[in-house]
Amino acid sequence: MAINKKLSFRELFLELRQHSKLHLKRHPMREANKFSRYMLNLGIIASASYLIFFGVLFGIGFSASSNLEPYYIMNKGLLIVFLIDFKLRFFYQQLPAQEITPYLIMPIKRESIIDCLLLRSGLSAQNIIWLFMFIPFSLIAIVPNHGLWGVITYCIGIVMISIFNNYWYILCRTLIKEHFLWVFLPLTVYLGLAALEFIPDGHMVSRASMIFGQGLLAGWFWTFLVLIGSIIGIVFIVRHVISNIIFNQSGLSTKPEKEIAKVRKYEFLEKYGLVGQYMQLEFKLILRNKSTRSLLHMSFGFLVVFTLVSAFTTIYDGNMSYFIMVYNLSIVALFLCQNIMNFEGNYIDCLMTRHESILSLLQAKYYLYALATVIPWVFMQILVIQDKQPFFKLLSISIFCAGTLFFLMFQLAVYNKTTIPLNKKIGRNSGRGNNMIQTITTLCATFIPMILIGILYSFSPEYIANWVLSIIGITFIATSPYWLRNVYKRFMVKRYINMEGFRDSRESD
Amino acid sequence: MIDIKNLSKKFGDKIALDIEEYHISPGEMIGLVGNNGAGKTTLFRLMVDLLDATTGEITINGTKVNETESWKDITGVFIDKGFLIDYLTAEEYFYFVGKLYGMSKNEVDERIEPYKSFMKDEVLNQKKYIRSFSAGNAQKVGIIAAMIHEPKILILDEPFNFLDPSSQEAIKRLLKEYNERTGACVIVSSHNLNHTIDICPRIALLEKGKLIKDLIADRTEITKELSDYFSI
Repeated sequence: MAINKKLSFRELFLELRQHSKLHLKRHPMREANKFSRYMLNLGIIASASYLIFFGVLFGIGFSASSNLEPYYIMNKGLLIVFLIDFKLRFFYQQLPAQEITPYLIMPIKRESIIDCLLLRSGLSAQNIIWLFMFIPFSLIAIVPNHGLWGVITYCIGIVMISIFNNYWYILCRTLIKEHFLWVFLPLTVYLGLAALEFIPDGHMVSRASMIFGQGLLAGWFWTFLVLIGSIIGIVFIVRHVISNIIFNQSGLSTKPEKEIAKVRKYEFLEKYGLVGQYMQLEFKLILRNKSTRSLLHMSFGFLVVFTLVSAFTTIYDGNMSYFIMVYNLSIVALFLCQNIMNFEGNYIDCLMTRHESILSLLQAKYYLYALATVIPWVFMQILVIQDKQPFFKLLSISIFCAGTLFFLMFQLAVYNKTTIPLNKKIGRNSGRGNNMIQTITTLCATFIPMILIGILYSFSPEYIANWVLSIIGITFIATSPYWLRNVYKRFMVKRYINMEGFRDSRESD
Repeated sequence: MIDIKNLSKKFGDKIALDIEEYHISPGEMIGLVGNNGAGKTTLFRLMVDLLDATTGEITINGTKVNETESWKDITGVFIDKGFLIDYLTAEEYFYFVGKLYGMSKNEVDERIEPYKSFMKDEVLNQKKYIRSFSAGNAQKVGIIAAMIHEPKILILDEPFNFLDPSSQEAIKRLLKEYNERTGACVIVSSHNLNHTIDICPRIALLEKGKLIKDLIADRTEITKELSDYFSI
């Protein structure tokens, strides 16, 4: 690897690692929200617990449900595990290219920086996460036949596959960032594997995966050789891609935005006066910025999946159906409401120097979000068609959500005081849900209505529950001008603290 | 018009601003000068209620800025990019701000007409959001938006920043014309002493949060006073 004249590769590596740690530690949002650290740790513990649980479950479950050894079944599904791993990396993993920019003007060889960042990425703890599942699984399933040595070689193999997946993700994500059409690279690979699995007889892919997994736990030399070769190969490709495409083209600097083909103005809202003006602004906020767009896409994704699963399977039958209904009906708004005012933090001074503009903004947001409940409601008619839920029940729960749930969520406007960058994709450090009040309010807004709905339908006739929920919902909708003004007044009382928070957490260009 | 009394602002233990008394009359053009950390931006933020004062008060036309919002209708301000909604096009931003003051699109179009040469065909009809503008053009958008409703008080922090020399000259001319035409009170801060003295007959000199000089004299005298102060 290239060595810089002034700093050795080791020194450079350690320096860059230190910078990365400081970047995370001193991020304005992290500093603004101590609670985020607890939530992050809690999230890590919860994920690890889940993985341990699944490891044990698969270890015991596979042996009970099939004549095959559990590790044969697990190995058949290895590709699915690492497909999930690949997908999850989109939510939390940063690209090396995003970190390179500040070092470009320094007297350090570019190749050395790339090598350091790639090495750091390969050594990242993120690549051993799956051991939480595979260690308990191997202890249950592999020890009886292959002993402890089998567990060790198997787990080393799993970590190596994770490292390969890490570079595969970096390659795909870097290329996709360069041009959207590169999305067809992973799609082609995964669809190709699916085709090989399902079209010819013999389940070629899962069989190959099973043999490979067997090689790992039996410590076959060639399997490790293949893995080492694959990792070296993909690192070479990623390195080549980053230096050629990213450096030579535009990926390192702020890419100038393309000229807008058509500026959508949402002029139909003009007739609603100042509130209509803010509704236009809200539309533009949601649709013109990566942060809000990714929240919207994510929420629609969840809506579609949850609705289809509830409609065509029995997984969410029973009491879970209330949760799914409340969640689905409010998911789009929940995602956006959770961050109410966080996006406006970017231009809070503009709003605060205009008369009662925050009140008009809150009104516009409420009307828009409440109306947006119609979209999931329409989509969830699939449940009515499938005879899973009666029409009036779904309607009354929608009305209830449009009133009560938003009343709860809008309280966050008083407490949210960190700015979320507008045109960056939501990911780690984005500030979502990392403030204690934000998290508690969101949980209350989701679970209180769900519990209330569950109790009502369990202990009273359905038509009475429908009426009660509708009346509660309509009451909150009808009184919205009053409680919105109350939120506005409380916001104004806290305005200096909030403005300071917004300014301090605003990212500099 | 604007009255400052016993105003102070502390950030932790550090006193950022401490002004006993200062009065600004309608129609005045005032330049706020001082080195970095003198408290210029802090004073502006306090004037438009974006910060809470540690002690004292600021009143505009007799009403305290932290107790009412009525002063917002007669005040225009641009301090930094926190005033720009950068996912709007320049036109959309002007129309949006205009609407907040009850102006129709036609009225906004009329109001921005005199600023077209200042914008130099680089701001309007660009099919670009403000976030894609150069710092100078974004600065122009912010300044024009602050003037669009013809406020009685116009506050601009470092208006010459990021602007090319010809735009700096243009903004000086525009601010003078605006002051003469509307009788509005214009307050600008700047590190550029020449530009500030060119347009402001009254200069307030801040040092470490204290108002150490309030210069109302002829241009030559002010220039000499400031040159003496800023020379190292």
